[in-house]
Amino acid sequence: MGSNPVDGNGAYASEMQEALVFMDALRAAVPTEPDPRLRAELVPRLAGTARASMLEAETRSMRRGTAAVAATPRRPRSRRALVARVAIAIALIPLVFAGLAVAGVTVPSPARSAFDAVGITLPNQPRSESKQSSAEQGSQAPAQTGAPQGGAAQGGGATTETSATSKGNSKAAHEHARAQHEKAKGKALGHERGKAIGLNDATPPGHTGQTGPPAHSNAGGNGGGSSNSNSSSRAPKATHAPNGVAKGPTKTPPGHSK
Amino acid sequence: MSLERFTTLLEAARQGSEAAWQELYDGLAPVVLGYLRANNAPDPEDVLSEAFLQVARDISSFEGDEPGFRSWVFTIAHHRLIDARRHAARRLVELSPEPPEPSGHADDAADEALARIGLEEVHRVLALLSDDQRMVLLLRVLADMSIEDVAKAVGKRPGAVKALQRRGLAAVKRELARRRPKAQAPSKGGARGQ
Repeated sequence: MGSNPVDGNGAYASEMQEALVFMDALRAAVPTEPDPRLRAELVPRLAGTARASMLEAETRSMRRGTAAVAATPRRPRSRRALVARVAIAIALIPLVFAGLAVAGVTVPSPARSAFDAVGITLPNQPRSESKQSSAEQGSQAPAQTGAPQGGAAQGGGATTETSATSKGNSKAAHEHARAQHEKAKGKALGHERGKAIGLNDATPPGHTGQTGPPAHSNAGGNGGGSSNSNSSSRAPKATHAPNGVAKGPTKTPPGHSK
Repeated sequence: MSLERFTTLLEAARQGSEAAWQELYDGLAPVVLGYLRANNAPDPEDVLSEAFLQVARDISSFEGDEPGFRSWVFTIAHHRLIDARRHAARRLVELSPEPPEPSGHADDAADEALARIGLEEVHRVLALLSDDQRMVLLLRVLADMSIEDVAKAVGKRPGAVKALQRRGLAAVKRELARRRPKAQAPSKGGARGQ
């Protein structure tokens, strides 16, 4: 103590001779003894504070260590774990489709057919096209042989149906639409009052009261109703002249009475 | 104190040994309190307590030898002094009219110098210095801090600390020179008379 050179940092040497004595005097004059009561009170507090601080620092360092361990990069997962993950993901796909079906969503036909292949029928789905098509494939010949039962109209219908099936899923969609209509029946206001066309029990225009698929102008159908669309199955009306007989106008010429 | 002894003492203080804290307190508290008093700290013993409590709180993070520890404690005390001054800025602080009694911790050379100049004169000259000059001189002399450490403690550049020290010493010399003719005149006259 007292050996700090004060003259080495820019102070003039001549000044230092006088000032050095003062500095020595400072060392003796300035330090003052604190109150002994303060010492008796403060020292135990200092020890306690240091102990608590040390414990806190240790806890902090332990936490840091734990965090550091947690922050270390993970080992790359083993191949087995990866395969297991992929397998679980693949196994979840049918469950997802089944869940969608239960929720009332129409599952795409490939998925449906996949379920059908293993003998599971998904709920809330329109009649499976694959089922139908397989059934049709099985009974196509009898259906064709049975076509004459309905005459030309039935035969035309079967042909149309076959062509529709071959074109795509129009029939399935049609049946699905019917099913939706059945579901929706009575839900909307006014349906029971017969205001909505086609959704109540009233016969929609173009229908003859048959409980079958609605007649389409291009479907052949039964030829009933007031539709004027051309159809090969429709019976010729009396107003029409037989083919090849009436070359002239069929109407009564003016001046002729009936 | 040897480095090993100080390291052992420091570790014991960290673990909360009262004996270790007693030793550290006895070694540093008088000098720190003198520094606080000389810098007109409001309620210097209270500031001293706060400074030592902060030392106890932060001792787990200190690394260094004895001079480093001394410098660290003085830096904390200086910061607490600034805080105390800031808090007491609005109220009038009554300074003690008489200089406090020295603790008697100084060596023989210091005691001799004090006997030559006189306690009252030392405090009178100190009071004539500016706050910054007094802080720098006291930290340099009492805490044995280097220019760089003092600069860090008081928040100034080392060049500014050197300038403050030089001006402070010049002011001390001026005051001592002003006092000398009065004190030496009788002795000179006496010598002539002899």
